[in-house]
Amino acid sequence: MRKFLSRPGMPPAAAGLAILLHALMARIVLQADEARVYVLGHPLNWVCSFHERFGLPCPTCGMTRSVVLTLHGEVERAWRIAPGGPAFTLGVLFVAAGVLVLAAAQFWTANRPGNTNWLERRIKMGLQNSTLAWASVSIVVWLTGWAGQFSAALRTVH
Amino acid sequence: MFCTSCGATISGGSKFCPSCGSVLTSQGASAQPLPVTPSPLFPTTPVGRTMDYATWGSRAIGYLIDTLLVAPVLLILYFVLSGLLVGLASIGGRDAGGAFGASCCVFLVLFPLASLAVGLYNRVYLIASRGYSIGQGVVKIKVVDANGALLTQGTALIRLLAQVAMGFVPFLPLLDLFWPLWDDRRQTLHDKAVGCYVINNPPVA
Repeated sequence: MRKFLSRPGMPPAAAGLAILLHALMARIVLQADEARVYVLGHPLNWVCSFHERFGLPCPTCGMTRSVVLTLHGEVERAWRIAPGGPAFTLGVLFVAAGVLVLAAAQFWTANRPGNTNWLERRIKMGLQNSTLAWASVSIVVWLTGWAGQFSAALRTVH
Repeated sequence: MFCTSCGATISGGSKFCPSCGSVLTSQGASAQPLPVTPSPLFPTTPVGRTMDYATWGSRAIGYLIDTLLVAPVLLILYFVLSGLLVGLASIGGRDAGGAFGASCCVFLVLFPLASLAVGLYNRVYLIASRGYSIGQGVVKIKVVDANGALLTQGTALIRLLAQVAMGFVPFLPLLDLFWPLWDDRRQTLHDKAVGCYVINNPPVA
């Protein structure tokens, strides 16, 4: 296993495929609507203690529903529940696509005579910068969205 | 000879650098190695020698083993806390049915707590005393500082805290785990927080 994962291109390929497999499994097993998440059609009646007690959303309220809806392609509904959900989910899928491109580049350069490392370096630098940028934007979207929902709920409570 | 573009070692007669692909002219190679240029995003202590960085596969397997070790502690904490909540609810004469319903919040708090509790032994004490955690020991890799020495307990603790803190933000733990895939020194973000490296642990002769 360890040796297999040490071959050129295998680490990013394994990582990218693992993410996509997880996303696919989640899409098959989980469904969601505005109220709750369903596991193979059975409602999951988990509630947030903070929301139950104070009537206010915690920073992760709605994230599961939002992520599940995004995986089902319903980005607009997901955004209304928790804007962080689509931001993070699309970020994760972007990382999966990025590392698969990196894997393809490493497979290609490993079997090619002459030097083609510049391609791998450029992809790595691109991944480094873009994932950092995506993470920063996602965190801002997540916290801004939560702050908006929190203040709206606060007005309702009072 | 060394490439004047990236500093890689090149054999005599080469027309291109085997590392960066630069064309080697008469001025394109130097008899002296280039100084190590720190990464523009995460400046780290320049490493004066070559390190045999652990592959991502080894790190990922070690990480999975270390994370699995957290699961029993997490479950124990979960059942203890849930039992307490049920008990308190019944004493107060309230409906105890919702006690287990607090699972999402409970897990959000308990996972970092369990990671911290297990990590204090596995990722601080063990790494500072012998260089590797239980999972890293299985895949024969170890954590060292820029000089190749073992981390102090304080440094290992900051590294653990950085990793646990990232767990509170969605997406960041995944980014942290995947970062060595595209990092020149195969560091995670929590490695960069303390300037340490994970290298292959050669067997003792």
